Amino acid sequence: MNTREYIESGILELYSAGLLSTEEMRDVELKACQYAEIKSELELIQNSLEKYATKHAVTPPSELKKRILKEIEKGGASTEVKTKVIAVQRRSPAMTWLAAASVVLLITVGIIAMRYSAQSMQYQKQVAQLMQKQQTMQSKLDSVKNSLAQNSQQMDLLTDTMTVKVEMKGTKLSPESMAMIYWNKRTQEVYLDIKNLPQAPADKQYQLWFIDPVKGPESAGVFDVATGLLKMINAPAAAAFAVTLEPRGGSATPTLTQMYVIGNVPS
Amino acid sequence: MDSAANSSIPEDELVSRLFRQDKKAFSYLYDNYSSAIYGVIFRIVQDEEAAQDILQEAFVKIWNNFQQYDKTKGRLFTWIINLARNLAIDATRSKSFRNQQKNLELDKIVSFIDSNKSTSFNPEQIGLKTLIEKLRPEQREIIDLAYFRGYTQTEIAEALNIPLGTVKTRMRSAILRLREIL
Repeated sequence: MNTREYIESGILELYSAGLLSTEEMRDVELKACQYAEIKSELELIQNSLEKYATKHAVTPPSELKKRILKEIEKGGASTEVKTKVIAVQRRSPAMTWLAAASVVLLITVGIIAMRYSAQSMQYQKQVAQLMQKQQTMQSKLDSVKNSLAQNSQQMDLLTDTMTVKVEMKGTKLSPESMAMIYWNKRTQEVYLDIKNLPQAPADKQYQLWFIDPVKGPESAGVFDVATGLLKMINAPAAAAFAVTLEPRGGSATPTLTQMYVIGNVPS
Repeated sequence: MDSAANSSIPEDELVSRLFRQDKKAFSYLYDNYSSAIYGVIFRIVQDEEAAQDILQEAFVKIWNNFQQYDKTKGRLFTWIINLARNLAIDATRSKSFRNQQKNLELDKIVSFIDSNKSTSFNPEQIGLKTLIEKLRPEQREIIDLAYFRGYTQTEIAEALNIPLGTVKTRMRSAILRLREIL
């Protein structure tokens, strides 16, 4: 993924201003986990919004704090239980210890229960986080596996004795241009390795041709300038390979005046 | 903002103490965060009594639902401010609020806060005017509509009469400007 583009799209700002759907938000959070660059940008954005919010600070009336503290005091269920049991305590001194013990027991159970539920929520969250991490690791692993398989396949092709290497050199039109073909005569596979080709105009595309000794030039597919080996269309028989510049999408026959590189298959 | 006896507590410690329902930590949290949060709530609802009720609701929620805070998703302040913002925005969505607010135009909000003499202002408030002057009106508008009014992308596009796609780019440039200034 292109993190720069993602950052510049403005999606992190929308996230921070609360303008995204829950699903989109989760996606941003996932990306922030995966890419440090996104995470730090997100922090900068949130920081500035927080500072902006802080600039609007207004001190609330002082009695509000007491009201809130009273409110959270009230929220604890254990206090109610406590007063009820203490009421029993007055009836008989024999009950005192029992009551006290039950209070202690209740409170202890309460505390333990609270701790456990807090802890279990924390664990659930950790498990969810770990699962998410595991998923991203798995997808990374898959893509590594894929590219590894691809690499070893290419390696097999390059080292195969049936593979011939064809050096396509620049024509008068573009003497600097250069590209390689790896063609396996047994499997008929064709791989193109661009060494040097000028960027094609937006409405044009390069097209690879193999010259069949009987049928003449046949298309081996269109391509844009890229690095690495490009897998092209299989060639059953070829005396030479050539690249021409054609209208985007390719042509049925090569435009010979627009030939950039050509090379003969060594016999 | 800070009460005299409290020395500063690092955020990590504050979080773990709030997790254990430590009331002293809660009191510290209130002393340090309440005015920023109250300011935001007040700006959204523009009514002192409602703002106080929402501030109370927010802090009770923070206390009761602290388990929901996820450290990996951002700082404590981000979580709290978003929680308070959402409560305030929800409150303004109610019908009675809508009617009351209809007459208030966006650019009047600042003067509304400044002219409201019954509320005591934080010294940081002084910086607000200069800050706002440094933002272009359309930059402030888009941040405020989203952040303080809880508008959706479509509502913002309609209110500012701009294409939906422009909301994203304008929001980015507005916050970039904010980052420069702050």
